[in-house]
Amino acid sequence: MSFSYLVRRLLLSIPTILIVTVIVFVLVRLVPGDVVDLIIGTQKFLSEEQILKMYEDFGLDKPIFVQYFIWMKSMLSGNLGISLRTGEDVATMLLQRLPVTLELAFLSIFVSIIIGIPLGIISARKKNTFVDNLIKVVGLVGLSSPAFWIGTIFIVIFSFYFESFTIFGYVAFFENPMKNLQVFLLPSFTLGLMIAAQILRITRTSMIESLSMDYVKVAYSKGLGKNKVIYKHAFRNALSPIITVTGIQLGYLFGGSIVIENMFALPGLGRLLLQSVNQRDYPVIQAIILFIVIVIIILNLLIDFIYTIIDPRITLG
Amino acid sequence: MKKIISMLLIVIIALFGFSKQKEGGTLLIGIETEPIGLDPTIVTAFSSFRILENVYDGLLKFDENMNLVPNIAEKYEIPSPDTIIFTIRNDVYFHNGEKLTIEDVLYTFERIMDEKVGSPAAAYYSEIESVQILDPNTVCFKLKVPMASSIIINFASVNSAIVSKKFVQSGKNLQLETNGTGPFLISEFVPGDHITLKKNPNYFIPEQPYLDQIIFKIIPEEISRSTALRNGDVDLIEVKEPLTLRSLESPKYKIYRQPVLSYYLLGFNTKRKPFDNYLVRSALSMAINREEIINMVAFGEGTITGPLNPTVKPWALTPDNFEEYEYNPEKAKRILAEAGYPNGFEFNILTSSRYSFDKIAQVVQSQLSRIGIKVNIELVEWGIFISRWGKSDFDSFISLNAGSIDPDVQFYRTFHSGGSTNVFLYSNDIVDKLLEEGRKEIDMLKRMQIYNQLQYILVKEAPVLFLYSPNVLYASQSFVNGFKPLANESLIFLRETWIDK
Amino acid sequence: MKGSKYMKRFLKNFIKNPLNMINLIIICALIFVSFFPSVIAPYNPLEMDSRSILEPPSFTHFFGTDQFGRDVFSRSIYGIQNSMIIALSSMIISALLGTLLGILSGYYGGWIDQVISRIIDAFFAFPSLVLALFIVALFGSSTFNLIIAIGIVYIPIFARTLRGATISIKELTFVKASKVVGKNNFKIMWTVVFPNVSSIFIVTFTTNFSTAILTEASLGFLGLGVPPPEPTLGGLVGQGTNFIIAAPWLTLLPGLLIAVIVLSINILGDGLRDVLDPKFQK
Repeated sequence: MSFSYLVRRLLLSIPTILIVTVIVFVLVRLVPGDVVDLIIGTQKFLSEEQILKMYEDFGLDKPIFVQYFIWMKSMLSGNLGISLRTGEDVATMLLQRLPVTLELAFLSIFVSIIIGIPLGIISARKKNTFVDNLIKVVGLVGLSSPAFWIGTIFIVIFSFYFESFTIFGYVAFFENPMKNLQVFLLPSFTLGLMIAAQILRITRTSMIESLSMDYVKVAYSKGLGKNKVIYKHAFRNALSPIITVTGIQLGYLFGGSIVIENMFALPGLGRLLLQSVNQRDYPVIQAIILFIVIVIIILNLLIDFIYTIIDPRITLG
Repeated sequence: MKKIISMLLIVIIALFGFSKQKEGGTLLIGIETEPIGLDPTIVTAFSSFRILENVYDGLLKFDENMNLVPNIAEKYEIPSPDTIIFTIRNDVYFHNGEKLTIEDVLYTFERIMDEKVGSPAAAYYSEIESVQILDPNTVCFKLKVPMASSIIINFASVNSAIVSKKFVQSGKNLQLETNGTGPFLISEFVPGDHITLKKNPNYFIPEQPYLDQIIFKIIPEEISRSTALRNGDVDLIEVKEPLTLRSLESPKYKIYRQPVLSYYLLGFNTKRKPFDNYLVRSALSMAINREEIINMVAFGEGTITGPLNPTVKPWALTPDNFEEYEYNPEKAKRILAEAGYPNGFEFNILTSSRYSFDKIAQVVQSQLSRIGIKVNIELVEWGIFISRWGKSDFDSFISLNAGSIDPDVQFYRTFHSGGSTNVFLYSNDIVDKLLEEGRKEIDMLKRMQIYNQLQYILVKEAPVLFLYSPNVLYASQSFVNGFKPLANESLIFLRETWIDK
Repeated sequence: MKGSKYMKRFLKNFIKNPLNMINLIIICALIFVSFFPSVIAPYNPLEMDSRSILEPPSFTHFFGTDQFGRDVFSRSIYGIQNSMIIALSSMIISALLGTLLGILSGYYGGWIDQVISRIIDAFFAFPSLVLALFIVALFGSSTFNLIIAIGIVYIPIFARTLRGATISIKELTFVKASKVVGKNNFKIMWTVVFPNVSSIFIVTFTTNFSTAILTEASLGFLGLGVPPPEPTLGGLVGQGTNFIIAAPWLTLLPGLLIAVIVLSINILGDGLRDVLDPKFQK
């Protein structure tokens, strides 16, 4: 029953999210030194009251599990803390950087789909031919190449051969859409190619499987055009594993965006994360990590729901 | 005749240039790091200084040759070596419209010396006995030690900038809000993106600043900054990686380079073996090839420095005065053998990855390996570096010290027994005596003799190895005029910068 | 008898594909380089030379030189060794712990399975680079911390895969038979379950070994890898990023090396999976 499956899936994700928060909480507390000292740092952004309040917020005198509940409570009320380095509200910082990362993510997924799926289908149709082998190798190469390497190749090529092309210098989309897309072109291709390799592989495998299904053969025998069979029946059937893999790639996407944003100087979450890591800005690090992981859990949940809609055969595993 | 014509031409060009509109325009500057805090009294980050020195004013300031010149104080007097009297201008207003009074000056220094505030400038003024208002325009600083000539330069530092008593006491957090008297005021600060400075229309020097607006764009990546300059997205950039200059060699751009006062050093813990023996330390001086360090780490953009930077005139003795500066690994080996280490030894260098410390450490490691000394690099995070540095918890370390135009400021805290930054735990009676005499001495020639002697001792005893002073580098579009970085890396010349498009 | 038949089929299938053979040569070279870098490397990887700073690739310096005049090719060769040590050590950590957790959880089921699975799910939700970065950020970057960080990151993958495999064979007759005979549970897990999931174990190990190399490289690129001057593949690339325009070879050539190594391990993994994983057998 797909409904009870959804409920079960939803319920299961609650402990997962809770455990994620415990992991983050415990890891940050394992760092040598008093958390509040670390947070106050050497720069006096905080007034006496704020510092006292922070001690209260952390409840350092209380047992660790009580501290955890205090911490959770403040997190849930949207209080993600204050940056050690700028004194800014961490939640505001996250919201400022989020659009950049989202744009990179959407464009990369777009690139990966328009490259990965057609190549996968071609590969499946020409199974075991030269074309198929070629595409397979390309896929493997894509899978094996580090993102920063592909990115460097792009940067070198574009800076030598297309001097007028703007590689660096982020502008918001609404400020200057053309320049914005230009700046995002190389980063989203770099990241998109990595994911395309994964999508290509799974598209190929699941297309091969569904092309060999009986009903596809029936469709052929009914005299439906070859392309129609492929696109209408076989591809639709192969869609659900493809969506799942795309879902798994979300994690890869966020990991990759750290590298790509830093490489192409895009002021997104990934760059904020690395900057904060370099400055040991713990409240920001903690908030970004929690945010990314929880977003991934929720997106995977959504993908599961879509999956059940597309493929009604799913039952309680 | 020819001469006269060319003179005339120059005059005409100069007149033409002057008559040309200097006023107005927006200057876009690409900077690496955003300011960390905005309270002039307590900030320690260079990135904060660079913004705040255009927003706040001190009693004094530096001109382009690092001479002290009046600022908020229209003049200063040193009637005796333990007294400094400032007369302040009568036409200075804070950005919120309030008039700057002598009370604000007094309050600023009380705030600096208040331990609870934690100002890094407190140490400069620890020898001040009292600050008194003489009349509504004059204030008198009485010193415990007659050292007026060396203390005076601190009045030009950002940490000594005058803040408004009323504004601070109204409970404002100066780390987040500014209210200065400077040529520009902060109109917008979007962390991680940009800071906009607007012209202060009531600045006390009527024609300054020329620019209407300065936008500091925060572009952490070197490559993005240089690309932004080349694309015309910004007009002026901070260059941190000397190699970048290679891509900017064109008449379209102006390059600015200025040797700075700060200097890289290899500091020793003089209480730990084997560095408790000065022979070992000075042997290392001969085993280190400073020029090679500059070439590898800074691609030649630096100057070898003795205890005082060669630009600190007239005090500095240039490196060729010291035999210990000759690169001579054989001699170093001989001295080490004499000192009881014929087969070398092993030690740690504490570093952090900021300001290329780790790169210098790598070169030093490689150079010392040639004379059989094994160096282990301890690369730690910045906060840990600072705390271990403060506790003298190291065999040796690489660091960058802020230099000064006055030898007393540079040496006293660093090399006097128990000095505030004497993390080397160096202690030498002769050095202590010279330092005390030097700060009291008013006679210029005698003072020079004292510091010459001191420089020779410091090189010979080598509690630290002075390595080099880097160049501060900027690049701009050719239409940017009047900009000069100073040896203390200050950007106060932005008030005299104009755009000639 | 069962084993040798298995091996024969394995070898037959493996050799049939020429790609696998070429790849095997690369893998052998990789192993050789990892054990004896000094035989291949023409220079001392730490030796600086002020006369050759940032030289482009040439016959004297195949991969050019870095800002200290060190030979990048020699550094890459030693970098392979260091990267391999890091990837292998961390894989051993995650394989040991992950397999243990996976088999326990799959074999016992019930609340043990629930607890382990929820924790594994939680770790699994972290993107591998994000988790590794987090751990390194908190505890500092040293070779040891890097190994631990990458090791932790891959535990959930082993645990999940091995749990699934254990569940699928748990109900088979020979496992049930051992229970009836009265062997104790740990003995069954070790002597019966593990050998039967070992092929999946091998495939998981190989495929994740290559991603562990990529994770180390990415951390190095971000400046969070092994501290200098010790070379690792990631560290070399990270060092080169300051000079992408002035000296692109510093990033491109070690990057190429990473790509080739990861590619050949991936091909090996694919080949092993085709042969070993029942799901992929026709």
